[in-house]
Formats: sequence, C-alpha cells, structure tokens
Amino acid sequence: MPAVEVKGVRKAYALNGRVVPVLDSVSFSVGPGEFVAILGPSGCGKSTLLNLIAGLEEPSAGTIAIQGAVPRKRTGLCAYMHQKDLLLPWRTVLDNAILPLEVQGVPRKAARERALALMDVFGLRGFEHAYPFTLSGGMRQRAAFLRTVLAGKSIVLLDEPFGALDALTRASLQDWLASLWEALRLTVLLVTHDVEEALFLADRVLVLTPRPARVRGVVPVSLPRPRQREMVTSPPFVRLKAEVFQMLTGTQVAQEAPP
Amino acid sequence: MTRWVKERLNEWWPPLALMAGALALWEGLAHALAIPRWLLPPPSAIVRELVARGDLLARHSWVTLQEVLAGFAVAFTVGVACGVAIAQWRVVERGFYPLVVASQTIPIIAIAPLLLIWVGYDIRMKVIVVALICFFPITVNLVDGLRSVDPDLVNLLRTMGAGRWKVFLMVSLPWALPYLFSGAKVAAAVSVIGAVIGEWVGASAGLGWLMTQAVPRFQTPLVFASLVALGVMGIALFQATALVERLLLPWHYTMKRQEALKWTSL
Repeated sequence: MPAVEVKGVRKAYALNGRVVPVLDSVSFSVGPGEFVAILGPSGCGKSTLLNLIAGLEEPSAGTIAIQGAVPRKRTGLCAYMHQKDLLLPWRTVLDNAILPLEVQGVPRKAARERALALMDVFGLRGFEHAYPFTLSGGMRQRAAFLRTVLAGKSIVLLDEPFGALDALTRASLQDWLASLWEALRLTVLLVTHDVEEALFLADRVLVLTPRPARVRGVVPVSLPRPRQREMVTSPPFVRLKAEVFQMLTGTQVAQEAPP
Repeated sequence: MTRWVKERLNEWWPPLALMAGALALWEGLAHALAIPRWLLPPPSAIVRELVARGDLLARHSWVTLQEVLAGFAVAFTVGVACGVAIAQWRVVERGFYPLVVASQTIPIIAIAPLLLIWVGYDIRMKVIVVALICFFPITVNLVDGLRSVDPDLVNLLRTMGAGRWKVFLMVSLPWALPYLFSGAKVAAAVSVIGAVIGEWVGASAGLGWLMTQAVPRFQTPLVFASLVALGVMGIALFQATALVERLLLPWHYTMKRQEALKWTSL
C-alpha cells in the first residue's frame, strides 16, 4: 500500500474570469519510507501539488489517497514544512518545536520533554530557550525541521526547505537531512527546483513539465546510502544530473526552462 | 550610576533640555514684559499654584482619573470584542466595520450634550465619552494586526490539524498583540481629552470642570495648574500601558531593541 497516491489530479484557478490550469492530470505514488523529490521549473505548480496533498486546497479533479484511504479532510495527516521557517517570534525554540504537539493536545510538560530529547540531533542544544530572531538562518530552519519531525507523522512534505539559505548552509543542511532521514526512514516528499539537491537526497526524482504541470518522467536514483557530499562529482551522479536536465528542458544541453 | 539610569538620561536629556530652555525663556519674558498674571502667568506662579492648591487639584484629579480609567476599561473590552468579531467573521466586517469608521467622523463634543440628556450628570456620561474616544484606536489597530497575520503561518497550523479557533488563539491573537498595544497607547494618551470634554459639558467635579470654573474668574494660574495635572495624568497612563506591554510581550520588546542596535562607524 503506497503512503501517498495521487491519481489524475487536476487543479485550475480562475483569474479575472479566465481559467488558469496549474496541474494537468498528475499521477504518481510514494511508497512507505521512500524519499521522493518533485522537481520542476519555477512556477510549474509543484508547491500547489504539495498544498493539495497537505489538505490546504482541494483538487479540481482526481483523488489523493493517504495510507490507502481517501479522507474527507487531509489536514493533520502529514507533517508539512515551508521554505520560510515560520517560527513564531513570541515562542522560544523549544516552544516553537512543540507547537504541533500542543495542537494535538499533548500537555506542555510532556511535549517539552520529547523536544528536549532531540535537541542534540537537531544541533540546537544550548539554544532551547533562545528566541528565533537571535538565531542564524540555518539554525532557524533546523528548528523548523524539529517541529516538523515532532508532529509525529510518518509522511513529511517539504516545500523547498533550503530555498532561502545560502549555498554553504544549504549543503551542510542537506548532508544533515540525508543522515537524519537514513536514521528515521520517514516517507518524504521534497519539492525543489535544485537538481543536485533532488538527486543527493531522494530515492526517486519526479520531473514535472512547465505549467500546467504533468509528470514528464521519473528518475530512480541508484546511488548508495549513506549519501556522501563527494558523490555529487562522481560519474554516476553527473550522468543522472544530465539525464534529469535533459528531461527538465527537453534538450541535450542544460539550459533555463522557458518561463 | 547604573547602566539603566545612564540610558534613561541619554534618552531624556534632549526633551528635558528643550523644555527647561522654553520655560526659562517664558519666565524671563513674563517678567521683562510685565505680562499680567491673569493673561499669562510665569512658570514660577504655576508651580506656586500647584503647591498652594495641591489638595484641591488632587481631589479633582482623582475624579477625572476614575472617569478615564473606567472609560478606558470599557473601550478596551468592547474594542477587543469588536476587533475579534470583525476579523473573524466577514459578515461583521462588511456590515459593522464601515460604521465604526464612520462613527469617528462625528465630533465627540457634539455627542456629549446628547449623552447628558440620555444618562445624566453622573460619572457614566464621562465614562461613555472617554470610551467613545478610546474605542477607535484600539479596535482599528487590533483589526489591522489580526489581518496582517502571515497566511503561510495560518496554513502551517492548518496542516497540523488546528481548527479555526486554535489558529486564532495560537497564532493570530499573539501576532496582533503588539498592534493592540499600539492602539491602547494611543487610547491612553487621548483618554484624558475625553474626560475633559465630558466635564466641560456637564459635571460638578474633575479637572475639566475646575478649568471651566477658573476661566471666568480669570484664575489663569489655576487653569495652567490643571493643565499640568492633566498632562502628567496622560503621560502616566501612556507609560503604564507601555510598561504592561513590555511585561506581557518581552519578545517584542527585545526584538525591537535588537533591531535598534546598529553598528557605529568609528
């Protein structure tokens, strides 16, 4: 039974009376414990796809099954993380992390204990009681990751979680996420427009067309785990990169996707 | 000298110096030009009046302060309730909010005599006038704050399975609190105006009433002494609201201070 199964999903918006199709019959499935990256040109509707799975919006047509069922209300079933850290400025790192547990009705004290036990893994030891605005971008994003993991969902939706970070911080957080995922083995759906990031982290890469998005192809990433940073320059990685670029742009040469 | 005192001094010396200069000039001109005291008393005469009529001023200040505090409390309660309702329900926003804004174009001084007819001379009339003046900044700022919540933050809470009121309590309301306090500070500063207007229209005590008694008798120093008492009251109310804000929203206060720490070029 797949963890997430998207079948014939279409989504269109009305803009000034004009119908703008964003997703054009998207179908794919994600197995339990699988890491799938959704790759597509900017503005192709990949975030919309993630919002649909998270239950923030409803598809115009098609179905989305979570753990084999098509629920009436999908919110609260998957953990979701945005490009922005979305930490509440009035809460400390610790109290931000326990937010999903509080929503679920877990008493504060018990929730805090669970969060404190994970501070080392998330590199936040010593900053439990710091306010978000005193932290660096990388630390804030790690705090957002901790909050996402503490939601306790087996399916995690990541919407360009490294998009707002500088290249060095991004690379170190990718390394960290790869090892974290190898330890936790959650089902992850990662939306990104960074080919290297998708290949470095995922088991499979789903390539979307420009808007309205369809699935252009799926690239299995047969790189060994644990993933190492050096792999990104290895011949198999570079071959995969060329294959994905070709799929993204429809040409042999890597170039910018049309707007 | 502690760091706190140093920082306060650093912050306060420019307005204090400016005021001292202005008062000295006023004092000097009043004597040099021999301006009669009923026309414009020098600052020294006002200070003497404050000391000599201290009991009288304190008694009437207490009356005014009660009106201001009660009016502010009413405005805060009603304002928060209205702000929440406007932000939470489209119907209320569309039907009620334009009326709230329109109500502000009616001068309070024109409504006060009507209130005199409807509720009479007692404290209730003054409380209503104060509340009418304080209500608007509190409501409008709270509505602005509740509307400015990051929609991505609301969506994040929704993905966690939070319902509408959980989102409101955990995100929207804390987000809007700094805005609410901005409104409350404005309200605190103008609340005194409401009490004075109410007392001018119909009262038998209070600083505003005291001024209406002193003016026809050309007791100008007493008018100025009442003004000083009103000013002190307004500033104290503003500072008290700011203090509550700082105690309730320590994160907001430190964040603002953090931003204020700028590198200085040497």
